[in-house]
Amino acid sequence: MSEIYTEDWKAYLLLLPTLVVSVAFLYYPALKTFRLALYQTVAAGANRIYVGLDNFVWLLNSPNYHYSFFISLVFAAIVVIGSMAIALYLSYLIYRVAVGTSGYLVSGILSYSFSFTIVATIMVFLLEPSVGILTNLIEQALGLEINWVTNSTQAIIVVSGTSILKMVGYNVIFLIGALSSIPETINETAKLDGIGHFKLLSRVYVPLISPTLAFLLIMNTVYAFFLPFPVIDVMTSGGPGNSTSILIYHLYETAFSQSQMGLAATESIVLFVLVGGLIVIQLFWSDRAAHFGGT
Amino acid sequence: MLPNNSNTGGQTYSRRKLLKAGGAAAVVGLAGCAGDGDGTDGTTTEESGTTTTTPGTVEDQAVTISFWPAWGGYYEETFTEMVSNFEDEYPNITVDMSAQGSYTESRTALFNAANAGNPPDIGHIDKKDAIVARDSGFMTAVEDIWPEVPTDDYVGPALGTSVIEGTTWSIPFNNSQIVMYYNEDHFEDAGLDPDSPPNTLDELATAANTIVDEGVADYGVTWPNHNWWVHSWMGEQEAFVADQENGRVGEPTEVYYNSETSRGIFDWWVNDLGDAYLNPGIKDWGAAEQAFQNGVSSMLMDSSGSIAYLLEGFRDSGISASVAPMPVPGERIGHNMGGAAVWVLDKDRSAAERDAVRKFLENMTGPEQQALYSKATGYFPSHEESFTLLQEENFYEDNPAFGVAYDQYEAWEEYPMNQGILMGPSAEVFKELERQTDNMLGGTAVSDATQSAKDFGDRRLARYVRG
Repeated sequence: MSEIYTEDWKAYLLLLPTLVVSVAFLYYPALKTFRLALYQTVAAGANRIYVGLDNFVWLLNSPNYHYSFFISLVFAAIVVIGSMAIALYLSYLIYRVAVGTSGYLVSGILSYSFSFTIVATIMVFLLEPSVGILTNLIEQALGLEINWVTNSTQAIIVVSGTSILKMVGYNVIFLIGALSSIPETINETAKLDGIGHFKLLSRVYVPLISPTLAFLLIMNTVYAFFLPFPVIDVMTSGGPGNSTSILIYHLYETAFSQSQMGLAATESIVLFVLVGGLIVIQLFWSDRAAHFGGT
Repeated sequence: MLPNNSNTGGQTYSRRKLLKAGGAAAVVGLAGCAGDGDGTDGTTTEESGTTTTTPGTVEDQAVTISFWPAWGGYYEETFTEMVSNFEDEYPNITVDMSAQGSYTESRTALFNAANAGNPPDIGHIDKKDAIVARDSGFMTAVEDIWPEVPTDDYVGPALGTSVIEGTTWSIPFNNSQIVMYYNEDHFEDAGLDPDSPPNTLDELATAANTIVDEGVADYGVTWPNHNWWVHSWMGEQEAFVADQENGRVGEPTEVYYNSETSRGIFDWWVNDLGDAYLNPGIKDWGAAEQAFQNGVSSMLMDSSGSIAYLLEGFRDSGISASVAPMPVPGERIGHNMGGAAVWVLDKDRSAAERDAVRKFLENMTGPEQQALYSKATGYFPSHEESFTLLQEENFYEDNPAFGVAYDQYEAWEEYPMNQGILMGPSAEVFKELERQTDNMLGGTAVSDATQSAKDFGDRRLARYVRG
C-alpha cells in the first residue's frame, strides 16, 4: 500500500487543529482539574487554600458521597443493561419485520432525537405524582400509588426508565446498522435449520454483532454516568433525600449549588478514575468476548 | 457505522484503538467539566475593595453600569420599569440589565464572571449567601462606594444579612415572609370557617386532616421542602438554628437541628400533619403552587413575594384564594426575612462610574422604587418610607392580601433568633436539612434524620474557611 503522505510533517500539520482543540479544551482543563483538587475554595475558586489530599479525605468520610457512589453504579447498571437489552430486542424486531420497516425504525430511534431535558420534561408532565396526565390511569390500572417525589425506589425507577427511553434510540441506530450487515446467507441457513427467534438472536446475531455491542457497552457506560444529569435535575433534583443523586449530579451540586470548586474537582477525578477503570475492564473483557473478525 | 464482520485482523486493531481513544476522550472530556475554567492560575487570593478613582462625576459624562437581577420571568417587567425610571432621572447613566434564572444561578453567574475578570457592577444575591459573598473576594462593601449609606432608613428585619459585623456589605432589595394561601370553597366544603384560617401548627394539622377526611382534596396543605420553614418555626420559638446567635456574633461551629425544638417541629410535620401534607419536593415551589391551583391541596404556604402573580394565577383558574399569616407553633414573634440584597462587585471604576453605582443603589432601594416593586410583586419594600407611601394611597386597604402580609410584617419583634442566619456553607448545610426532611417524610425516624443533619452541618462548618 502506497503512502499518501511522503513526509511526516504534512500529516502532523493536518492533525494540528485537532490537537490544538483537544489540548486547549480537553486536556488542559483536565490537568487544571487535577491541580484544583488540591485546594479548598470559596465561591467560584479565586479564593483558595492549598489543602493537599484533604478533599479526598472529606469524600472518603462523607456518607452522602458513599451513597452517591453506590447509587451511581446501580443506576448505570440498570441503564446500560436496560437500554441495550430493549434496543437489541427492538432492533431485532425491526430488522425482521417485512412491512413498514421505516416507520418502526423512526419510532425506535425517535427518543434519541430529543434532548434529555425534553424527555425528562415530558415524563414529568405524564407522571408527576399529583397532576401527571397518566398518573391516575396507571394508578388505577396497576393498583399502586405513584409518588416518586417522596418514594426513593420509585424515584430511581422513574429516572432510570427515562434515561433508558432516551438511550434506546441511540443503541437502535447502531444495532440496526450492525444487523443489516449480516450476510443474507446466514439468515437463509437459519431459516432452513428452523432456528427459533430467541436462539437466532442470542446464538447467531449477538455473536456476529458483538463488536457493535462492545462499542455500545462502553459508550452506554460513559453515558450512564454522565449524560442523565438533566433527567435528574429536571425530575428529582437528586431527591427524595439524596436517593437519585448520582455522582455527576452530586458533582454539579458541589460545584454550582455550593460553589466548592476544589471539592468538585476532586469528585471529578473520582468519577474519571471510576469510569475510566470500568472502560478498561470492558475493553479487556470485550477483547475476549467480542468477535472482531479475522483469524 | 461499524464495518461488517469480514474485516481483517489489521482493521480489528484499528477499531480497538478507536474504542480506547473514544472512551478515554469521552471520560476526560466529561470529567474535565468540573474544571474551574477561570483561565488563570489564580493560586493567590485577590483582595477586594481596590478601586481606582479618577476625577469626575456622572453629571459630566455618559456612563454605563451593569445590573444582574436574580430572576426574570414575571418579575423582569418590573425590574425593567424600575431601571427605566432610574434612567429617566439620570439621563447620563445607561443600565445594562441581564436577568438571571434563580438565586443559585445568579450567584454562580456572578462568581464566575468575577472570576473571569468581567463582573457586572451590581448583583442580586440571596440573603442566605451573605457570608460566602463577603468571603468570595469578589465584592466591595456598599459603604466603600456609598460611605453615607443611611442604613437606618431601611427596614430593620431585612438588615440582618446586609450589615455584617458592623460593615454594610449590601442593601436589602426584596424582602419576604411566609404566608398561607387557602381555598375558601374547600374550607366551606370541609365545614371549616373561611374567615378563621388556622393560626397555629396544631390548628393547621387539624384543618388539613379534616379536608382530607371530608374528601374535599387529596391533601390539606402543601409547601416546598425548604429550610426557611424549619428555620422560621425554630425562630418563632426563640430557638437558634446555629451557635454564635445564628452566626451573628461570630463564626458558627454547630447547628441545632437535633434540638428538642427542631425535633418537635418535625414530629408535628411527620406525625400530626402526616399524609395531609403534600411534599412537592426540595425547593419545588412550582409543584406546590400547581397543586394548590389544581385543587389537589387546599392550602399552600409560600412567599409573600409571590402574592401578586399567585393571586393572578388563582383568579384566572377560578380559585377563590385568600391569604392568611403563616401558622406558627405558639406565640407569634415574627420570623426570618427571606429575599435578596443588592451587592456591588469589586472592579476598577472611574469616579463617575462609582457615582453612577451609588446613585443606582440609592434610587433602586429608595421609597418610590421600592413601593413600586412591592405593589407589583408582594415583596416588602426595603425602605421604611415606602410603607408610608403605600398607606397614603390606601394600598393595603384596597388589596387585603397584601395587607395580611403587611400586618404580619408589622408584628415582627426584634429577637436575635429572627434576623437571619449567617454561615459560610449555608447552601450545603441547609440543603442537608432538606434532604433529611425528605428522608423523614419517607419514613426515617425523626431523631436519626435530625442527628444526620446536625452531624453533616457541624462537619461542614468545621471545614469552612474564609479563603
